[in-house]
Amino acid sequence: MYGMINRGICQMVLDAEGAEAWSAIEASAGTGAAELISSEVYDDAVTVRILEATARHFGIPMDKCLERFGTYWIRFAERGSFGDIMRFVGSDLASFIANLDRMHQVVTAAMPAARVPSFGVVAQEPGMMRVRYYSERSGLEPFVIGLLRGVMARFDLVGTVTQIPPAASTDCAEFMLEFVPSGESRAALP
Amino acid sequence: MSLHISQRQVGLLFPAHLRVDQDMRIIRIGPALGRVLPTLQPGDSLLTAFVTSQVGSADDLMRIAAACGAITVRPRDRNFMLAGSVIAEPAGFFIALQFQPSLDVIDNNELRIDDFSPGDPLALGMMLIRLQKGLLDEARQSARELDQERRRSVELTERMRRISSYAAHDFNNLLSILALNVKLQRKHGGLAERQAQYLDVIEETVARASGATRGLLALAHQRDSTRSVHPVDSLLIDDRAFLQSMAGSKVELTFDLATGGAQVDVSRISLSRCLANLMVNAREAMPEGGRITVSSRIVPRPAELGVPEIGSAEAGSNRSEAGQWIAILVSDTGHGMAPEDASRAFELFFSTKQRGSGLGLASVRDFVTEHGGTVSLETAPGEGTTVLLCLPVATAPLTGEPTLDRLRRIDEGPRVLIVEDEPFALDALAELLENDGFQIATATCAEEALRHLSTVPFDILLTDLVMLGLSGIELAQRATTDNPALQVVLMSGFVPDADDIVQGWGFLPKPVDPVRLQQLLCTACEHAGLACCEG
Repeated sequence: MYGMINRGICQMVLDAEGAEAWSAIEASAGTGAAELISSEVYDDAVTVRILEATARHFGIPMDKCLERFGTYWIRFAERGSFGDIMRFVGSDLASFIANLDRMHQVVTAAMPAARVPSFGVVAQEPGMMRVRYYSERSGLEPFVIGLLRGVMARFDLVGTVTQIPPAASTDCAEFMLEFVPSGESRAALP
Repeated sequence: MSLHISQRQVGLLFPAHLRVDQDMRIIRIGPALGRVLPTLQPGDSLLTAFVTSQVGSADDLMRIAAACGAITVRPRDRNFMLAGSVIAEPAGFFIALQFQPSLDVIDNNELRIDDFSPGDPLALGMMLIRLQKGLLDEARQSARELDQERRRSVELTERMRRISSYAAHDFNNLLSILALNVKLQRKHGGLAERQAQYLDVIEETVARASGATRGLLALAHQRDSTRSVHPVDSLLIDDRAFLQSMAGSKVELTFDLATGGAQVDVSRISLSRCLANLMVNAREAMPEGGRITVSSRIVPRPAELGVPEIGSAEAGSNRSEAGQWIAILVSDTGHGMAPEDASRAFELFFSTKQRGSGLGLASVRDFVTEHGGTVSLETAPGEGTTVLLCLPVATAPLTGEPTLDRLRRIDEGPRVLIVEDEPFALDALAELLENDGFQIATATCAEEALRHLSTVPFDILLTDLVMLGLSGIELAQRATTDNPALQVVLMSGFVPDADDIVQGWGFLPKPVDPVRLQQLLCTACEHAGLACCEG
């Protein structure tokens, strides 16, 4: 994975608990500043080590840590080099998710070693959306749940993200998003 | 062929379209133009809202449509262009436009991906350019962070260097007092055997502590700019305590020295630092402990040991006596190195260690090269490592240990002004040199020394380097300006920069070694034409 993922985890910890916590996680993961170069490609195992150490530090299971990082990643990405194109890609939840593959197409052009996932909107109704997700990597579904929560928050929506059985026999995973504008009561969720 | 698509689908396929009637009035505005040009309204004239040289009437639009030609327009008061096709309709014309690449479009923050047709490559191009800009900004930020980190690191290193320097300086001053008083006690004689043994212990302890201060100076990156000729085996033995501390408690350090007193022209501190690097490498190759052997011998030439060397043996051979070389071998019983790693071991920044800096062996290589020698490596996985340093045998051997007893003195003895701000050291030096027949005056600061110098014609100025007020170097500069024949010997726990020392001045590192002091004063006397060493 690109070092910017590791930087994202680092920044999440720094924002939440400060530099001392991050130093402890680095020591536990056996990593250092050399693993935080954004444009450098690292073995996935390095990122997994960092995430495992982070989960241990936060005292949460790995899947919860992935969820938390997924949500944080959206905020981190929009503050960094992806911010401009994230604004360009869409100004509402549906167009943003529908255009993610086009954005990832560009990411691959700029960062050739990136193995980007694919997202598609399968069904959409007011307050509800079904999203299909495919990745060469396995086990990142909790990260995607957090990611989709982060995207909802980006468009001032609150709600739930649930992994559901895919409608068809496929390699993809599917997620149900149920949401309302953040000012409205969650009781209004479908 | 006719195609039935909804208005929404038209908007998706051609987000920047316009529909105009036969009078060139705008009937419908595509969603992208509606957002980017919010003042554009249905009913506006195409020719008023847009600038175009191709169209002046509906006939022109008809001609373009018939020829399947292209139309280019620019919104009035805006800097971006749109281009596309014209399709004739019963009620007028459908103009399918697309944004044209330009800085104004690329930098336009109002535009979204949906303002472009799905297959419009400009949208991807814009994203790519924006992403590259973002990555560039991030790289700049990373560079700034790295620079700040480097500055912090340099600052920390500098602080540590200063602390180490000060500690070494002060410690060396104290050791000097001990060494000089031991020397005086021996000169007074009349010691019982047991008392002499006590003095031996003190001298040995001073020597070991001196090794520790050399370590501090090495940590402070103090350069020993005063390269001089030393018996190499003595240097290695003197460094024993320091090297053992670098090797760590799990490692047995043994010596096998066999150069028979052969001398090498070397910077002592640089040699210590070089060996310290090798100790650290060896220790890290033996995490469970092991043995390091430091051995020395004389070889006809570096290649005689059968391992390829790196360095400047040819340059050094000019200084090698009868083509002879001193070989220093540092062998460990560690895990050894693979051939591909061994071949790169002396490269700057190359390291097989996860957090290695790749500086250690590179600095060893620099050290031997600077001293006209060579370095090589013999290693194999599981069979330990031997680093071989070859240095030329010095062609200017010492003339034994000259003592002041061997000086042919003039009637009244040379006049020496000693400047030292540490009273105990001053007293001990004065007594020691008086016993050796010098005429001594003392001062505890440079200002007092200058007053003496203005009234008495001294032959030698022996001064401490670091003092309150003027430094020893400033004092020596002023004194030799007034009296160019004055000989200068500086002494300090610091090692001064070579640039600060005038050629011909001597330098005596602290703790003061009485033998070395005698050598320097002997040389100074010879330069002053006062006395000379026999032989």
